[in-house]
Amino acid sequence: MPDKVPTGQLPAEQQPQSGTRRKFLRDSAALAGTSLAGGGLLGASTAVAAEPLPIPDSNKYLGRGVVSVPYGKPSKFEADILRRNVEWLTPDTIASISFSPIQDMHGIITPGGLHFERYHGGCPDVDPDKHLLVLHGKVERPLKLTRDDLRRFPQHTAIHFLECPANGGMEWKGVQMDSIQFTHGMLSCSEWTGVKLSTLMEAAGVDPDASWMLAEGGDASAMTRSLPLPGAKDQYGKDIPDGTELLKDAMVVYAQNGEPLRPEQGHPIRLLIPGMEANVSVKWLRRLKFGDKPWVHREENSRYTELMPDGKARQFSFYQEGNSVITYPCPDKRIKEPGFQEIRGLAWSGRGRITHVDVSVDGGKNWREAKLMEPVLSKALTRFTIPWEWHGEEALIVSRAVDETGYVQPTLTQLREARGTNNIYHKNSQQVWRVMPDGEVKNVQIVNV
Amino acid sequence: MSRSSMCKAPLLGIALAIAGSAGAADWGSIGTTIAEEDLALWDIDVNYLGDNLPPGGATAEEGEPVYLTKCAMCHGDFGEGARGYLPLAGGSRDSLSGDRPEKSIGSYWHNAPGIFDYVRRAMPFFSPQTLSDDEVYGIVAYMLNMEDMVEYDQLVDADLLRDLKMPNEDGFWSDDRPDVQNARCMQDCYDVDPEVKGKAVIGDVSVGAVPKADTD
Repeated sequence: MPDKVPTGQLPAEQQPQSGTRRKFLRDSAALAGTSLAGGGLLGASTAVAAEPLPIPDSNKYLGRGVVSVPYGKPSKFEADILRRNVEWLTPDTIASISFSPIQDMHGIITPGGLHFERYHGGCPDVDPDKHLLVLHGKVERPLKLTRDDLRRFPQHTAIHFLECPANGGMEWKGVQMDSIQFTHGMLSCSEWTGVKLSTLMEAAGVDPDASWMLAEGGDASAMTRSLPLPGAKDQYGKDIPDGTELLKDAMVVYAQNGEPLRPEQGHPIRLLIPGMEANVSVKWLRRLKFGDKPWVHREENSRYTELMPDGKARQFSFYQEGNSVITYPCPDKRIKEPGFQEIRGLAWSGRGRITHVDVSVDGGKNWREAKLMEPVLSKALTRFTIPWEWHGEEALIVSRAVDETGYVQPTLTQLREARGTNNIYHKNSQQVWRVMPDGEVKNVQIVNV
Repeated sequence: MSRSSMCKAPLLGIALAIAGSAGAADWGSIGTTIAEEDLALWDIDVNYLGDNLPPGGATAEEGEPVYLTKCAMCHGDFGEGARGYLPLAGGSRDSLSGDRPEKSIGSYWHNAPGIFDYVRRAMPFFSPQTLSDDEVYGIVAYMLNMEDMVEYDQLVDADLLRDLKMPNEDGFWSDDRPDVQNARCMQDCYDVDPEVKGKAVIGDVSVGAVPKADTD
C-alpha cells in the first residue's frame, strides 16, 4: 500500500530536512497541550539487514512504449480508487448518485473520472456538433449557440468545488456510514473553462428588468432550476439577494481540467454556479430562459427544500456553507503504525475563501489551528494539515472551518437544534472520527455539545 | 459552407482585424438569432402561476388508463409508491412536523401547475416527453383525484390548475441562513463528557467498510 510506513521510518515527504527541522519541531510542540505533538521522528533507528536491497524488477526489463495507452489510465495497482454508490439509497442507478473517493485524493483537483455523479434521468451521450444552447424570454435577441459559438467568446477559467446539498444527508438522524467516501463524497473540485454567463447575457441583450433565469438540461429529466438575478423576489414577494453574487462568477463551461467536459459532468456544456448547491449547475444545458418570477418547479419545492421541525421548509437555499472534514485518519484510511501522523483534510465554503481550519483531538474541547496548503481559492477545496503524535490512545478527532465571511462551521448539535433531523440537505456540521487503540477509525457523533 | 466562401473567410477576418480595435467587445456576430415560434417544442416550462400552460384538458377518469399503463409500476395504482419509489399521494400535512414526514403532492407541493410541468418534461421515467398534453392533464387529474383535490369526472385544464389552492402553498420561506452562529473557541470549550454515539440510531443500516473493488 502506498501509505504503508515501515516501523521506525517515515515516508520521504514527512522526513524533515535539516533546514526545516527546527520549525517543524516548534510547530509540533505547539500542539503538545492537546496531545497533538511531534517527536517520534527522533526515534528512527538504523539496523543493518542481512542482505543488501535487491535491484527492483522494473530496473531490469523494458516498459511499455508510447501510445500503448493513448488515453492514459491510473496504475493497475490503484484500482480500488473508484467512485462508489450506496445501493439501498435509490431504487435505481439512473436517478441516483455516486461518491468520490476523497479519502484517496492528495490535491484540490478531482480527476475527471472520479468526479461524483448525480443523474436525475441518467447520463446521455450528446453530440457536441448537434447540441444547442438557446437563450430567450426577456431578451432583445433570442440566440441559438453551438459549442463552437461558445468557444468564440472570451474564455474564463476558475477552480471551484461542486457539492450535492445532500452530502452527509444520511447522517442527520444518526451515524449510518462508516466511510468518508459515503459521508462526504458528494464533493469534487475541478478547473472549469468556458464563458461567463454575464457575457452571454450581454450577447443576447437580456432585459434589465429580467430578475430570474430558468436553466434547463438536455437530459431525460430536462432538469430545471430557477436562478436569481439582481432584483429577484420569491413567490411571496421577498427579496432574494443572491443574484448579484451569482453574476460575478457564473459560467457556461465546456471544459473540465483542461479537456472537454466528461459526459458525467454534462458534456458538451453545463452551467457552473460557483459556491451553490451543485444541482443548479445544470448539465447538458440546452436552454436559459429569462423572466421576472421564479418558476418554483419540482426541484425547488418537492426536492431541494429543507423541511424544519415545525413542518415548514426553507427554499432557494442555494449556497453551500463552510465545511471541512479530516481525510486522514478516517474510517477508510486507518492508522497503521503509531508515532508521527499528519492529520490531513479538506475545507470549503460556497461563500468564498477558507481563512482558518482548526483541529481537535479531544472531541472539540481544545483546538489548534491547522496549516492551509496553497492554493487557497474562493469557493474551491482547500487542503489543511497538522502534525500529530499518536501512541495508541483513543481520540476524537474533528476539524472546524472558518470562511472569509467569519462563518464558523457548527457542531451537529447546533445544526440539529436549528433544523431538526428531517432536513436531508445542507448538513455541513463538524465531522467527528473516533480513533481506536488499534488504529481503526469509526464514524461517531457527539450529541450533547 | 462552399469552397469559395471558405476561401474568402480568412480575408474577411483580416479586414475585420484591421478595421476593429483589439479589445472591443462586440458579440453581435456570434451565434444565430432564433424566433420564439421556432421554440414551440422546447419552450415547455410552466411557472407556479400556470403561465405557458397549453390548451386542452382531461378528467381523472380519462387519465386513469394512461396512469395505470405508464406510471403505476413505480408509483403504485393509487400513488402509494412501488419498487422503492416513494408515494406521490396520501401524505398527511401533520406528518411534516413529525418523525416521518410524508411529502406527497397534496401535503407538500407548492403549486399545481408545477405538477403538469414536471410530468410533461420528465415522465414517464423511461420515455419522457412522449405524452400528449391531454394525456399529461389526465395523469395530473388522476393524481389530484387521489389526493381528493378534484372529482373523478372533473375537467382539469389550465384554468383549474391556475386556480387550485394547494394545501402547502404557504409552507415555504426563502433562504435566511446563516441560522447557526458558532464561536471560534480554542481552549476549554466545554466541561462535560462528550456523549458519543457510534452506531446507527435509526434501524440497522450501517454499511460498514468500503467494499474493495476487484484488481487485476
